[in-house]
Formats: sequence, structure tokens, C-alpha cells
Amino acid sequence: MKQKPRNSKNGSVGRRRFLKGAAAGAAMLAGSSVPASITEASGSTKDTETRSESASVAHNTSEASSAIEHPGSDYMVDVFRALDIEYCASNCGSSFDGLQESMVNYGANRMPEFLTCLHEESAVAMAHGYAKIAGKPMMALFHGTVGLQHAAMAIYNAYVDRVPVYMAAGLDYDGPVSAHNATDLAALVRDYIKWDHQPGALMDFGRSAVRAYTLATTPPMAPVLLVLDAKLQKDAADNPPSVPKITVPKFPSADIGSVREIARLLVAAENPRINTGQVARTQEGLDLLVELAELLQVSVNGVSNRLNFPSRHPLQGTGTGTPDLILNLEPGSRVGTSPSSPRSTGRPPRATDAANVTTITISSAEFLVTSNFNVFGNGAGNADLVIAADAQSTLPALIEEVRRLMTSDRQTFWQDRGTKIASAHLRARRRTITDARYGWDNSPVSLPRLAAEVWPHIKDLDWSFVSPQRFLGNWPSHLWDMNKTYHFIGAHGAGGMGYGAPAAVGAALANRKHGRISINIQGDGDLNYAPGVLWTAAHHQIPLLTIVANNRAYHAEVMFLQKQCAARNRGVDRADIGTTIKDPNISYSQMAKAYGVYGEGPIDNPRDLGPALRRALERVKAGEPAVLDVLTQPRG
Amino acid sequence: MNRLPILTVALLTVTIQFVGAQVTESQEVEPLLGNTENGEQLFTEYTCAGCHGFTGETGLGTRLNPSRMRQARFIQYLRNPTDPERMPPYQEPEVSDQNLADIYAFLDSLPSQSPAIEDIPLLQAILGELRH
Repeated sequence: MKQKPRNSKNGSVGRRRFLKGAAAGAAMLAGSSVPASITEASGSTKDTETRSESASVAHNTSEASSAIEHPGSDYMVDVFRALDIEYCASNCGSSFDGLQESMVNYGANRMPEFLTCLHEESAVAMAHGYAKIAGKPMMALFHGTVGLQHAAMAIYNAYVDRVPVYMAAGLDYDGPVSAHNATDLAALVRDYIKWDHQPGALMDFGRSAVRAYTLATTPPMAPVLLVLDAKLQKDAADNPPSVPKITVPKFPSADIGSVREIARLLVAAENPRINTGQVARTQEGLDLLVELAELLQVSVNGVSNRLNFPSRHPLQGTGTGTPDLILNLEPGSRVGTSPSSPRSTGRPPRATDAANVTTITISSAEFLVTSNFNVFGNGAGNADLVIAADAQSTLPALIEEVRRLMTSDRQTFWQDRGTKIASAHLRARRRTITDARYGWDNSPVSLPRLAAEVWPHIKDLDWSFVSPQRFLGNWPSHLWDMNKTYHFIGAHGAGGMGYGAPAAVGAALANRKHGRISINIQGDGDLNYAPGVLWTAAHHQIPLLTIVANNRAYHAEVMFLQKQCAARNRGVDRADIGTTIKDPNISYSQMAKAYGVYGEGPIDNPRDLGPALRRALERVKAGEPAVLDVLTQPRG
Repeated sequence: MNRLPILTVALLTVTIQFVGAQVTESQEVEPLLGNTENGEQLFTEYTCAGCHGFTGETGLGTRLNPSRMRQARFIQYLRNPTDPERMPPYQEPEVSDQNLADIYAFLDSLPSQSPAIEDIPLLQAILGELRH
């Protein structure tokens, strides 16, 4: 199949033709890896300008006779398309110009569509956010050592968050900068990806590409990396291999013996509690957890690393009293914590109670072996029973076993227990909502006020909250009714800053085809890592409301440093040094405008928020990104 | 370990507790005259707002507005907070009693920015959405 390049997106046909012409010229400048016939036709290798002109001439005059009609990268695009990869986020680089040319011309810039990113960290974080909404990976493409190292932090975030990112890096041993090459390129990130391969032939590429995809999308999900030699991209492949069969493995669920044991313990427990991390990969996971919780009338700490359980469900939270059994489902690095639950009445087990608490952990992270990073802390911790399995895949069998074991006596007991938990939840939630009144009229704006002002604008829409909320005091989940997995997609994973804005853009891209309104409440410190992603959102017309919660500082660090200054009793008035972002203040509305995005602010009067939100949302509903710069109190 | 330091620490602890016990809400201690403007500046310089908000009503720290303790208790608490992991102690010579009295005066001068829940329609609406 050979398709003509046609893409009228943005209506910038003239500009695209210009770019296409430039790309065609640039494609002929790929050093000695350019096929010999073309190099010879150019007649010169002495200086760039001469080569450029000659190459263009060669391209124009001898295309029919000497251009490679079926380069290997065309086959690569066929494979990516077969893998249902919609987008490729990338900052361009000469080591993959062959592949990029195939994407935009042979593939007509569809499946995958090339997303222009201004930083590789943004490309991966976009893919991270996208996967949490789309439920499938986006491709991220890098240029050699430099691109991959730019991407590294975001890869680590995705790895810890157990999110698939389908990555490829170009490698051109004959490229102009030898420092962009490495003998073992993937070694740069191998400690925090699931698998990598550098195929030596197209046949290998097809198998590796499929293998990478299935590994990335099988729990524990994680980023994978293909290293693509420029020569493999550019050499002729007149008889390319067929696309290998794609078979995604059955996900690893717990063995039936373990499931029966967990069910027995849950049914017998007096006051069990379920803690969740990354259990609900899909809406089905959330629905299954609701089914299990309602069956047992057990409390679920369900709003943590993402939305695993509806925020306003009567069983949401820590329940009542001290638990005698804790079931951890896919815990993250903070086992058992859920600060985003309403301030409930359930207590954590005291040290003296530890002997009386049975702890069970089901986690696919047990399969993620890393030799260098303390990714999951204690892993399963001090659990009495650890099951290495995907928790969501295990839930159907667990529910079935609980149903098999339950008796009418236990059901009566459970109903009574559920009533008490629901009552505690309601009291806690009312108290939390009432607490939002503190500092309500403050200027700068309090974070509960900010969240409360947003809610009436989105609650009757199909909406998606696509940013972390811990730095917001978790007020969105305190105040908003979250009951779909896309209502809250969690946070960074490893806590690496620079995730927020690009992950939000990637998630918003995945939401776009559903007509869903994406909301990003964005820390100012995080935004400054790679703000260029705002341009990417504008360029690709990705609708997203970004509200910059602008406290002009890294306030967590302010608090840490202040504590040290006070403890050492010196310089208690100097904790702002290196922790604040003032003098001069940054204008995020001006920043947005510079990137071609609607911007408004700074807004410091809370009464101005409602009208500003209305105006910005009108833009978003029309398909644009928009940014509101809101001056806020330091913390929620 | 030498037993003398242990004894010294124990005695100091008892002394601090004893002194602390002497400064009660009901005791007549002449308060220092606080300077509100200087207090506002110190509240900023000591980054108190980082945990307590710019008006002492928001954030992760204890709400300071309206003030729930008298000046003497306030100063004593900042010298010996109950949980130093959450609230660091502020000691002389870095922070004088007068500094703390100024901060106290600033906080005491602040009007509340926290209306009653009944007067906030947005929060009333959210409370009304709770189904159970």
C-alpha cells in the first residue's frame, strides 16, 4: 500500500507543503547512510550547502530511477498501524528521519499521527497521560543518546506508575554527531523499562515490535523500547515480511487456591479494609471493586494513585475502628495511604494491634524486577500473604468465591457493618466539605474554593480530571463526584516534576474523540519544566482547560527547608531562597499567549473565578486549549 | 553513655514542663506590645504561610485565625511545639519573644475570611448532592 501524503489538519496546507519540501531535502542529507545510488547521483559530499542543493536536484531528477521506493521504515509503519498505535509523540531527530518520512508520507500521517513535541520528556509524559485514558499505549520516538536522556525522567515516572509507553529511539552510526550514538543505547534507561531490543533485520523488527507491544500492555504494564538503526529504516525492503500475528497474553490472575484463601479470610473478618493503588486499569476494574465491596460491605480506600472506587460511594474511605484484615490491591510506593479519602474515622492499625491484623497483598509489581531503584519501597511490605498477580484480573474469581462462602448470618452482619461505614463516610464527607469554607474569601484564592468553583461548570458535562491532586490538598476528589476511571487518572508515578502539563495534554488528546472536557489544575513549578507542551496542545488542537494553581513557589520544599532552618536555629527568614518563584513573577497567561493558547490572569480575587472559568471553558468546548492563571494560597 | 547528660536532659525536661505549666491561660502575664506591621513581615519571612496560608486559615498547618490561644501560650507553643515533625520549634536568638508577639499581633488583627457554611451556596449545593 502506498498512500499519498494528505493531511489538511489546521488548514495549514501551504505551510505543510513548505515543510514537506524541506523534509524531502533533509531526507537526502543523512550522511553516508544515504543509499549509495542517491549519494552518487548528488555528485558531491563536500559541504552541506552543496550537498543540500545537489541532493534536492537528485531527488527531483532521479527519483523514479534511484529513490528507494520501499524503504524498511514503510514496513515499520505497517507494523505500528497493525498494533493500533494512533499517535507518535516526538521531538524530531536525524537518526529517525527515515521512519518519520514514512510516517508522514507513506502513512499519510495517520496511525500513527506524528505529534510535534518540544521536549522528549513531554513526549513520554504525553504518552503516559494518554495511556491512562485510552487504555493503550502511545508511541514516543527519540533521537539517539540525547533524546533518550531527555526522556529519561518521564520514562521513570511511567514505569513506577505501571503505565505502558511504546518507545523507539533512532540510532545512526553514520550520523553527523558521534556523541548521539552508543554501543548499547537502551542501557541508558534499562533499569526502568520492561523490555528493549535492537533488531538487526526487518524480520526481527516485526517480531520485536509485536513483542514490545504485548509486554508493555500485559500487567505489570510498563514502558518498552525499540532501538531502530537508521540503516534498517532506510535500506530497501522490496519484499518486506508480513506483519506478525499479534496475540496479547492472558493477564496473570491469582491461582484458585490463593483466591479461595483470600475469600475465606475476607468472609471471616470482622472489620476488613481494602486499600488500593493502581488496581482499576479500566472501568471494569472499578465496577468489579464496587461489586466486591458491596457484597462484603467493606470500606475501600479507593482514591489514591488513580480512581479505583467512586469518591462518594458510602463505602469509600477508611471505614470505622481498627481493621483486623487489610487487603492491599496493587499498592504503589505508599502502601495503604489514601490522603484523598475524606477525613474518615477508621484508624490505621496500631503497633500493638499488628499481631492481630492479617495483611494480604495482590500486586503485579512483584513481577517488576529492578536492580537499582527502590521503586516500590518495601514492595508487598510485611504482608502475611502476597500474591504476585494482576489484582483486577483476580477480582472476578474472588467475587465468585466470596459469593460461594457467604451465609445468611454473615450477610446480616455485613449489612450492619455497611450501615456503620456508610454513616461514618457521610459524617466525614460532610465535615470535609464544611471545612472548605476556611479561607473561602481569601485572596489569593484558597484551593478548596478553586475546586468548588470549577465543579458547577463541569458536573453536567462528560468531564475528565487529568492532573495530580495531592498538591491541591486532594480537594477535587473531596468535592467532586468521581465515579468513572477517567474522572481521576492519578499522578506522576515517581513524583518527578514536569509530568503534569504534558500528561494532561496527552490525556486530553485521548479524551478528545469522546468529546470529553479535560481539566488540568496545574502546579506552577511543574509547568515550568517543559511549558512548550502548551504549544503542542495548540498546534494539534487539543481541547484542555489548564488552571495554573500559582503559588509562586515549590511550597513543599519551602516547608522542608523552613523546618531545617528552625531546627538548626539559624536563618529562619531564609527558607524562601531557592524555593520560591518570584522576583520577577511569571505571567502564565502571557506564557500561554506566547504559545498560541488562550490565556487569562493572573486572577487573585475568588469572585472573578466563575466568569473566567466560563470564558475559558467556552474555548475548550470549541476545541482549543485554554489557560487560566490563578494566584492561590500555598497549600490546600 | 555517661549518666550525667541523661540526668541533665531529664531535669531540663522537667524544668521545661514545669515552666510550661506555669504559663497557663488563666495566669496574669503582662503581654508584650506587638507590632502588627512587623508581624506581617515576619509571617512572610518565616514562611509561616507555607503551612498556614496567608491569613492563617488554610493549608496543612493548624488554623491560626481566629486565634485560639493567648499571647503567652502562643509564644510558649512556638518554643516547644507538641509535634516538632509537623511544627518546627522557633528559638532565641533567631526569633525573639518580641518577634513572636509581633506575629501574634498580626494574626490577631486579621479579619476572618471564612464565612459560615450556610452562607456559601456553592458548598451548600455540593452538600445537597450527597445521596445518603
